[in-house]
Amino acid sequence: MSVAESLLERVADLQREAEEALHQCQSVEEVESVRKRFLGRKGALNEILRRLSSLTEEERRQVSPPANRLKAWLEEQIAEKQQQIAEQVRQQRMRAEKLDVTLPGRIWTPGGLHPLTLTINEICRIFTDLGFEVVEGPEVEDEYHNFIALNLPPYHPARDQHDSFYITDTILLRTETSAVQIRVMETRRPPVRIVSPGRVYRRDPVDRTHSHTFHQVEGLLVDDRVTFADLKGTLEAFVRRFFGAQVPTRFLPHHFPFTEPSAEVHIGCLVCSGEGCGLCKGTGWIEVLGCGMVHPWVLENVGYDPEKWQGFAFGMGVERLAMLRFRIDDIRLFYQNDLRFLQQFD
Amino acid sequence: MKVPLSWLKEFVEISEPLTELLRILEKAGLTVESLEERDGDWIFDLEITPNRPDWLSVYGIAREIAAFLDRPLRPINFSVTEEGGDAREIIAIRVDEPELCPRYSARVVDCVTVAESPEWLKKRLEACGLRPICNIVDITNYVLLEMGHPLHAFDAASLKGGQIIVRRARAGERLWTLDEQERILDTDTLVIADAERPVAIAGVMGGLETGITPFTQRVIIESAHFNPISIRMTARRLGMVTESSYRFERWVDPSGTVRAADRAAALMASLAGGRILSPVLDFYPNPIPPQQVHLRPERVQRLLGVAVGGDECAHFLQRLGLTVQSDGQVLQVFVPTFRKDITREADLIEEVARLYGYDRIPSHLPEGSVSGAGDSVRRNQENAVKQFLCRLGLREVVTYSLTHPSVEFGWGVNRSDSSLSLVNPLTQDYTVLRISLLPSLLEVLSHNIRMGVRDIWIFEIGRKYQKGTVGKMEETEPRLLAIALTGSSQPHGWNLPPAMGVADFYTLKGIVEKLFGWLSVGEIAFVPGGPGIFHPYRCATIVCSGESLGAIGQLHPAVAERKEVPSDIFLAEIDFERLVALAHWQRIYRTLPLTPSIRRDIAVIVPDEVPSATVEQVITQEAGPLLEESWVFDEYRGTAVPSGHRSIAYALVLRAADRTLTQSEADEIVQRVKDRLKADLGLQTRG
Repeated sequence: MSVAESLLERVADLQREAEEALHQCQSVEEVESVRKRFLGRKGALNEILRRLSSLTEEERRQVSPPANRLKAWLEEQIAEKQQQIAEQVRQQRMRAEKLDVTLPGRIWTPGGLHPLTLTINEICRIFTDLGFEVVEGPEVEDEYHNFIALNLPPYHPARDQHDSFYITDTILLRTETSAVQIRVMETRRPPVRIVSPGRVYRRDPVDRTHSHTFHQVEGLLVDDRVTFADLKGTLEAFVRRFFGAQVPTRFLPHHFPFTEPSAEVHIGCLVCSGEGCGLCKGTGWIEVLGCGMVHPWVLENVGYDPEKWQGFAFGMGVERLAMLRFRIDDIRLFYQNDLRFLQQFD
Repeated sequence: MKVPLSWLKEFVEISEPLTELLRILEKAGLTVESLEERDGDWIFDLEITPNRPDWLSVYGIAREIAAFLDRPLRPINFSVTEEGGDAREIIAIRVDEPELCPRYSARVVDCVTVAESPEWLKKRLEACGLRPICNIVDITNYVLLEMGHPLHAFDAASLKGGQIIVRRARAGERLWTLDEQERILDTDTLVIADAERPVAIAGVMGGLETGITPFTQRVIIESAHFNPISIRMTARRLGMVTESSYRFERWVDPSGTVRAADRAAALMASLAGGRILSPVLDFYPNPIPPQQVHLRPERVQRLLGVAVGGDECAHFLQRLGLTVQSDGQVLQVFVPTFRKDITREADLIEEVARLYGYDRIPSHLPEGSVSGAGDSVRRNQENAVKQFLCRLGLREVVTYSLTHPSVEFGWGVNRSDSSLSLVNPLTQDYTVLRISLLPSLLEVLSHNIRMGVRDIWIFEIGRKYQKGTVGKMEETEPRLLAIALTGSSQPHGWNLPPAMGVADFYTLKGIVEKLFGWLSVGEIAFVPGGPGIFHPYRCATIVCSGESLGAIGQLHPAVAERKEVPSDIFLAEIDFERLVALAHWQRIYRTLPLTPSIRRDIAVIVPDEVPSATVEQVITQEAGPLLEESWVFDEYRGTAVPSGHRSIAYALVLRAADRTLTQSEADEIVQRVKDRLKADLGLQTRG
């Protein structure tokens, strides 16, 4: 047997041996040692390739291609085996990582805003979208801004509805946020288009529907051409956005000292849709806010000429709107701050 | 005000079904508070707004319904037959205070027999919520309900000197009123007196001694118009609201006093056998004329946004009982004295609008715009901070600003500070305006703990109230931010690391630092010590550039005991106005580093009395500009550390902006820091 022939035989043997060795492999490390044994610098295949130099040109042409084929084939087999084992290992690891997917999720729960803040923000948002500006003012007010400038002189019977807490003879806790409107008009020329949210106080004992402290959002628009029709359009737009597009609105005459004509806005009952129920006392309608065209006295009090300027004003109770929207039946819940109550509005 | 349907039908034809009538009342502005069926009749309970005293009578309501139905209003049908003597010989009327009593009318009815009223009369009074007493008194009440004129009946025999004098009371004068109370009068009180003494508090209540008795034979019927403010002041002062004062303080038609007295006299003649003496007595030196108000139809359109013609306007106003003259462009309107609410054009426009129908006025959105439209900066900032705190797991609460004087003081409050207090509080619970939010937050904690809620992370942004110029809101009503923590913000977590599970001082401090950092307020320091509501060794004042901005700490154990709450409560109170004033809201982009950083950790053995802040200061100084950031990642006490000491581990991140820092450079910096800690503070480092 010539050297060439024995080498060719050796190539064939190596292929069988490598096949067998790879087959036995269980781990990435074992595959690596197989690779070293056959393909390494001092490996079996290199041994053969080294010996090629001692062969004749003719013999080399005989032996070289099968040896190179074996090298390529081995490289391919080893890569395949490595992948196969990696996949097995991964499968094994994943089995060990099995989770009880029925355990609860873990999340950092954020807190939340108070329902009154949510309601005030939504009301303000609707009116800012309608082009109003938000202005705040002091809660400790003087009689002039809280009453007199709003056409509520001392001993006016309408003050019955505004029983107030006094700090001194002439300083009191504001009974409505309209006082802010007076302060704004005193310092600006029309057009004025504002809403003022905030706390107000009435000397009422606390029960399910009354509170000595509550919140209002009051609005004012003064311009040269604004009409009662604009008032209706604005408040109807508000009701649609706050209570829903399907909720009907009606305007009924009422009395407020600071507006003339004055109106009360009613919406279709949210519970019975007009059939009559406990919430609407069988009438199908719920009163939600008061409004009217700014009284010329009020305009004159702030130095606006009522022949030139006119406008509308409106006011709503935040607690009342929140109670209607969330079907809350006790105003005291807002100030008790029971967490089980508060987290219902997130 | 309760009104029977059958009584209304005496004055106006009503054939409409009940639901239609209810709709008409609402359209007029008469809110129906309730509706009750009684003996086959319907009784409306109407809410009467204070501008419409003319509605405080059945006839006034009938007038409104007639106007809305456009039907005739029938007059009240009666006739007065005068017989017998001269009324002037029985009684002389003198009014000393014509300002307070512009009109005083009276009728004398003789030979009455006091008895029970007939059934129909009693029924009507009862339907309207009044108790029948006897025919004479019931008749005065009947006319009150029918015509809105409060009347008073005196027993003529009990009046001394044949005189009725309308005057101010003398200081200290006394009067037993019909409700069997002795009233002590003052000179602001208008009284009806006889020659010797007061016999009635004008417009409010009659006297006991001069009232109708079963033996009364001769009656004097008083029908007056008093000054509304005077009556309101008197009623307030005496704490009495009567059917009479309620109407007088709102306005009783001065033109109708004689007719009301006549109506009562006629009823006494027919129901009590009385004889009406001649003439009617009437003091009315300066008759109040009807108001004259003009109405321009183009103003109606300009205000309502709908065109209503001049003729239509005139027709509406006439239906309401007003007299209208037109000179083409402008309507001249004469307003009868029962409508004292109509004094200017806007009032007439409201009348036109009511009769035209609010529902027929179109809807329209206003034109134009204002430059400041949108939410205010003030509210936007407040809302941003609220949202930020919510993201950190805190929940917003809203508490009353009215509270009781409290011994627990929050940040910035001294024992000598006084709150604004109410001169007329309703209960002892609410007598002052708060100067700290912390007592209110403690109340919230206490309520929740009582309810079994144990994990409470809350905050409030609210005003405190202090003396100053009214109207300067920023000065007198600055906002505070208060935080209270107890338990976990994540009660539903599982396998949470203990430090995340339950709030402690550092949890709260972390929240405060995070907030200040987010607002880019600048360097802040936590200086040990704070107000008395805190545990004296577990509290700190928050200082920024030498200015105190607030305080944080654990609740003082003594306060916890007194409030019956656990002591693991952590509180913070911060000057919100200063916080937002120092804040930088704008975000400016910093270029991202292109070179890698190196992290090194240093563990330092620190005696308890050396604050970590001191150690950090040395580290920062010595490490120099290559130190990008550093933080504490562990505090350890245990066997490897001498007692009275702890091992604090600091992480240092080093980076050079212009080149890759070498390991040996980093090692050198760490060594310098260690040497400096030893040299300056005598501290050993571990590992």
